[in-house]
Amino acid sequence: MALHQFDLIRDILDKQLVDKDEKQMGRIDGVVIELRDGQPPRVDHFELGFTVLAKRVYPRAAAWTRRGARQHVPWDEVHEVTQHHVKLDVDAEKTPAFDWERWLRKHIVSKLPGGKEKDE
Amino acid sequence: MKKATQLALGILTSVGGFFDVGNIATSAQAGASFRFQLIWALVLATILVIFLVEMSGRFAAVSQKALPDAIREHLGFGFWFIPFIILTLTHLLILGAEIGGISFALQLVTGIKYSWFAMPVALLVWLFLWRSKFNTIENSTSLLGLITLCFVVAAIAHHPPLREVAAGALPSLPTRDPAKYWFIAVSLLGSVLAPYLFYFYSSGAIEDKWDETYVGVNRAIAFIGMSFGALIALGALVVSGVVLGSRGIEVDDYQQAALMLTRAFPYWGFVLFAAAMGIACLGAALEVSLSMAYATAQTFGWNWGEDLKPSKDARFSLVYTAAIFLSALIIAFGVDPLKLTLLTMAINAAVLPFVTLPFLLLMNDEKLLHKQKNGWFSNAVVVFVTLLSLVLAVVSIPLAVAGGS
Amino acid sequence: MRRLAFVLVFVLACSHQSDDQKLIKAASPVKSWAASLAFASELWLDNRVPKSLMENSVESAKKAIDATRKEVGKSKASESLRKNISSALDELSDSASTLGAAVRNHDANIAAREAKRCHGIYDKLEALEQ
Repeated sequence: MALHQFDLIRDILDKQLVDKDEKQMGRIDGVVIELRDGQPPRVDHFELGFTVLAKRVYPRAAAWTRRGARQHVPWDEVHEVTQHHVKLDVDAEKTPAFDWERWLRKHIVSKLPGGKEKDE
Repeated sequence: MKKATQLALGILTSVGGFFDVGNIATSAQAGASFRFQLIWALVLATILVIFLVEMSGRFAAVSQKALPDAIREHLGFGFWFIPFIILTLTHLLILGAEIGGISFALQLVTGIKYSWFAMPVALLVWLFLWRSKFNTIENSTSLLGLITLCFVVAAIAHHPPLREVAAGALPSLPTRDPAKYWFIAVSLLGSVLAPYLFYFYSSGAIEDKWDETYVGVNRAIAFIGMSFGALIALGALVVSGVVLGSRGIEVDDYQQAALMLTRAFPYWGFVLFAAAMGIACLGAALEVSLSMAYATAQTFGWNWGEDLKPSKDARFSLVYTAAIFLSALIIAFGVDPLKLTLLTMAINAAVLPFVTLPFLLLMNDEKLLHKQKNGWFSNAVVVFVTLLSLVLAVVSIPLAVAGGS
Repeated sequence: MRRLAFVLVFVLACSHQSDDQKLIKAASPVKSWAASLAFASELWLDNRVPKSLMENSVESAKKAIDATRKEVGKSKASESLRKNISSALDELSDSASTLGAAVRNHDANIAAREAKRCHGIYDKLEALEQ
């Protein structure tokens, strides 16, 4: 069930993001709106990443983290918005949101017994 | 039929979640030091925990969201950040106490000092989580957990004076050592209202794919499961009062608690205590580890689930991996498991406001719960727990200093 | 603010004990260990607890005795009370050692005798509280 109206802060900020196969790929850590002359403001893009979160609890923290740690999600990637998630038309595995997941899988999990993807 | 099985399993699991190292320690201490006088604290905590567990299950069934998930989404990262850090640290301490409990049970049987067992036990707990699915963990530990009924059997075998037991269910003022009395009362509350219970239970409801039709099943599980768990804790308290309290033995060390079952049962009573303690703590260690991984993954929106292979949710799996080995270090360094347990139970009571405040906000959200939102009575209970826990938060730490040692 | 006041009153109430009472409270773990050793010995004689539990209990009891001994050294309680508690500590320490040796040598007679002695020490400490 797709919704048509929601509160930006209550319902969109911090919402679960899923990819096209409904794999959980993070949360909407920030919402960036664009102000336009003579027109209503519009949501430009979402942001995710620890930098964005750090900035929310402690604004100066953002300066300590590297800039690339912030991922932009342009509005055209949004496929649907429901009560449970915001669905993107991408494959989570190929996005920066899965950088850590991929790194940990490759360097730690696969070296532990039963951690290989093929293991049954 | 499926619901009946779920009901039975749910009850067993919630007994496992209820009765853990904290209950063994606090019940043994309460009985040994004050006989049946502190039963009221156990009764009060049980009534409160029934309400809170029912709410966390109802919330998950209706909104399709586990608690940490919904807290982050609807109350925001700014709200959740500090409670999340504090609850994560609390989880680590509880996990340490549970691993300490298993290690101590092994010391009782082998005679080898508990600190040597910390790492092997951590490995066992980790392997269990790493290799098995959610249902396997739920079912095997809950069936084994039935062994803790030995405390109830022992309590009945001792024919305790029922009038005195019943009188203990009503609060009364201590006749001696008030600091110790209130400290144990607070720890009893903390041992029953452990934060991991709610995060584990609501995430488990999502893992078991509950929907709105499970509201009734959930209510029954919360009521029967928690009461059943409390009955076991009550059994332990009564046995401790009869066997230890009457001999003037107070529980300053788990070795003293281990003598509890030696009168009701023949030579194997001692081994039975070790087995009950080890299994209760193992079940709880699994739940605490999972609870911590659930809360972390949901807070950051990672993919999670105990039914996925570790390679499919690497971050989730590595959170519990790190937690288990980190907590085991506390025990490996030789920290006394009983002291760690009692400190943790006081902390449990102190962090309760962080657990209950989100309940109050989320359980009244019509958009999430529709007709299943809280009624006035449930709200009154949560307000009461929140106020009580604010008082506890302030008194528990000075009490730990004054009455703990 | 009121909560803070409550805590202050509470902490003061707890700390407002006479020196004698404080020392008696500090000795209560030792009293409990005397009772535990007596009970555990009886159970060991009856084959209900393993040798290792006895050995570990003796060790823990000695730790508690040492901790209380330090408290006696620091205490400003009356001399007679300090003397009474000190002698109980010495006696329990001696009894615990003898008990440890008896368990190692599987000597039931000595263990039974020491169990009785631990009982006696418990009664003595209990009487001090009255």
